[in-house]
Formats: sequence, C-alpha cells, structure tokens
Amino acid sequence: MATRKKTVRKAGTTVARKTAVRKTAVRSPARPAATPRGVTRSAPAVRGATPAAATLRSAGAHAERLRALKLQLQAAQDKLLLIDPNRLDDVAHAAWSNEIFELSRAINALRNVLLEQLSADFLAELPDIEDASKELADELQQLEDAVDVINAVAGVLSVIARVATLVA
Amino acid sequence: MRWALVVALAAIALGGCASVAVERAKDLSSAGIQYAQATAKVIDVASDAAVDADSDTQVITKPRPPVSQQQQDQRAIQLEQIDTQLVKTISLYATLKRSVLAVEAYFKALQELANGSQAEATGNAVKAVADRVNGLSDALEKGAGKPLLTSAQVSAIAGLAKVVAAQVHGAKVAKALERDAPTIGRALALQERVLELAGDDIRNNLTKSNNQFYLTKVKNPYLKGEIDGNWADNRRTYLRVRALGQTDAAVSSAQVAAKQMQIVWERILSGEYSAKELSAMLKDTDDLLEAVSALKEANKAK
Repeated sequence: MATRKKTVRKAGTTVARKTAVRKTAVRSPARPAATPRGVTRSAPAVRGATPAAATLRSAGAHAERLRALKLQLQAAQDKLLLIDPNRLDDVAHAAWSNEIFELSRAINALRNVLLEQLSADFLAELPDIEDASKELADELQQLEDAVDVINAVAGVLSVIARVATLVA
Repeated sequence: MRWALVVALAAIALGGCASVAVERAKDLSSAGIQYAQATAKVIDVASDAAVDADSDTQVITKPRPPVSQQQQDQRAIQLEQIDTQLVKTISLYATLKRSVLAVEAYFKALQELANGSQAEATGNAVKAVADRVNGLSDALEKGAGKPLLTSAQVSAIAGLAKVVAAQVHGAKVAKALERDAPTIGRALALQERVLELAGDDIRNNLTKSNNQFYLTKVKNPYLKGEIDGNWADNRRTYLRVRALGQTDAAVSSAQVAAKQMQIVWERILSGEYSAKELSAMLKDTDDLLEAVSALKEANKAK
C-alpha cells in the first residue's frame, strides 16, 4: 500500500536552511529576516504585531513608491509615443527618439529593481514552504504506515494461528 | 470494550471538526493550485510583454535614414544596454515563476493529504485483525474454542476504527493548516505582489499597442482625410478599449483565482464556519456516536 517514498528530514538540514534564510535576508536590506519556522509554527497567525512586521511594511511602502514611479514613467513614455514622428523635423525627431529611449532604460531598470526585491523576498520564504510541503507528505506517509502496521499484525496473527494448528 | 468507548469519546472531544478541516483543506488546496497556476501563466505573459513593449518602442522611434557610422556605433551600445536589462528581466521572472511553482507544490501536497484519508483501509485492516484474533483463539483451543468476538463486535470495532482513523486524519489536516498558516500567508502575499508587477507590464504593453493602433489607424488617417468604413470600425475598437480598459485573459483569470483564494484563506484564519462546514462537523459527531452505539449494542448481544 505504502508506495510513497518517505521524506527523511535531518535536524542539521533544517538548521542549515534557516541559516541560508538569514543570509539571504541580510543581503536584501529592504526585507526583514524571515521569522524562523520553529517560532511561527507553534503560534497562530499573528499579523502586524512584531518589529519584523513594521520593517516589512516599510519595505512594502518603498516598493510601492518605486512601482508608482515606474507607472509614471510609463505614462510619460506613452504620451511621447502618441506624437506623430512624421510631424517632427530631424532635430526634434532625434531628441524625441532619445527621450523615449532613456525612458525605456529607466523603466527597465526600475522593473528589475522591483522584481529583484520581490524575488529575494520569495527566495527567503522558499525553505519554509518546501519544509511545509515535505511535512505534509510525511504526515500522509504516517497515515499509510499505520494501516500497513495493522495489516502486518493481522498477517502475523494469521501465521501464528496456522502454526498453532500445525503443532496441534 | 471500555477502551473503545474511551477512545471514541476522546475522538469526539478532540476531533469533532475533522471533516471541516478536511473540507477546508480541499477547498484551500484546489484554490491554491488554481491561483499558483494562473500566476505562473501571468508571469510568462508579463515576461514577453516587457520585451515586446520595449521592442515596439524601438520600432516606433527608429532613426531616419541615412544613419551615420557614429549613430550606428551609438545604437550598438544602446542595444547592448537595453538587451542586458531585458535578459535580467526574463531571468527574474523565471525565478519568480519557480517560487510560485513551489507554492503550488505545497498546495498539491495539502490536497494529497486532504484526499488521503485511510479510514476505509484502517477499518478493513482492523476487521482483519479481529477476524484473525478469533481464528487464533480457535486454533489455540484446538478447534473447540468459542470465538472471542462475535461478528457484530468485529463489525462494530472495524466501524469504530474507521471513524477514529477519519478523526486522526482530520486532526492531522487541521494541525497542518494551523501550523502552515503564517508561512503560506506570507507566500500568498508575495504572490499577490508578483501579480501586481506582472499585471503592470502586461497592461503597459496593451496600452502601447492600443495607442499605436490609434495613431496609425485612427488619428493619422483622420488628419489626412483618408477615412472610410474601416476607419469607423477601427475608431470604435480603439474607443471601446480605451473606455472599458484592457483586459487580458490571463490577468483576469489570475484575479478571479486570487479573490477565491483570499476568501478561503480568510475563513481559515478567522475560524468561521459555513453552514456546509457545520453540517459536516455535525455528521462527524453523528458518525462517532453511531459507531459507539453499534459497539454498545454488540456488547449487549454477546
């Protein structure tokens, strides 16, 4: 019955993961250190009550400002792109083209900063998410194992009964 | 049989809401899988949209011929700069997609656990043990022994084991939901931010396309007086998109999934019970009481 491969978890691995999480968090100043899973697991979800939550809100506000700036630059670029280039003389055309290029560069740079920050935040959470997935698989395995044990007991009892019959 | 009653009563006390937890986990996991898959699709679309918007801009702003050697050298540097940025963009979107797929893997594992009740199998296994106990007793008594358990007792024990196994399963699921709530809550918040940023890029690309459509198919022909039936159709298309806003199928689907996800998640965290969940909870208790009652009856009949 139990065909799933049981996930073996070593304490050392978890500790190493936590260290990695902390290191990632240090590299990304905009994000606070991820709350260790061991701490959060025993407590219900408490939102907005920790110092880390305040830092998270501040990082979120910073990201929101960058995002708003990116949207403004995109809107400015859209307005420039609505100008018909055929109505511009050569000098104006070159200036217009250059402005749009610089805006593109700024938009791309801002997008990358935003994605980089978000990516770092997500990567810091990944060990916890992966641990949680493994624990779920382990729990399912334990349920299946319990049935296997009961079936094994039934098998042993059957063998004993047969031996007893033979001895008799 | 006292032990069985104790176990059953303990199960009532501890796991009265086993089915609720399992049903919630099923709801949550299917919504979570759908949400993650929709977000992954949006990421793919956004990655292409970011590149397309930039390329379209390059096409519109192309230099007027003749292009001098100096201009060409300058343009080579510019292309390299912007290509480097976009390579990074594609790579970052791919990283985010991998993270979102890890969240999907969590919800798939939760779904497997929620669907992985061993109640039936446990009931059958316990019944087999009870039957073998009788067989063993008979063998030890050299065929003259009275069965230790009547067939009614065997069935009752198996029934109780099944219910208890369901409770154990429900308790495991409930514990997992509570344990993982903060982790998955944070992951979902991050996923929402991914969706926002990706949505920005998709909308930006659509806006640019629509504006260019307006310029080439509506405004310029109008200024030149080159308007006909096609122009009227094009104008209507442009105005409709401008008035109603651009909707992309991938973004819409992700937004619907996000909403569903938030509803289920809020219910999990607030501990609210719906009517359906309440009935499920009551059925659990009924099943347990029925199993205990069957066991009592079986004991009386012995």
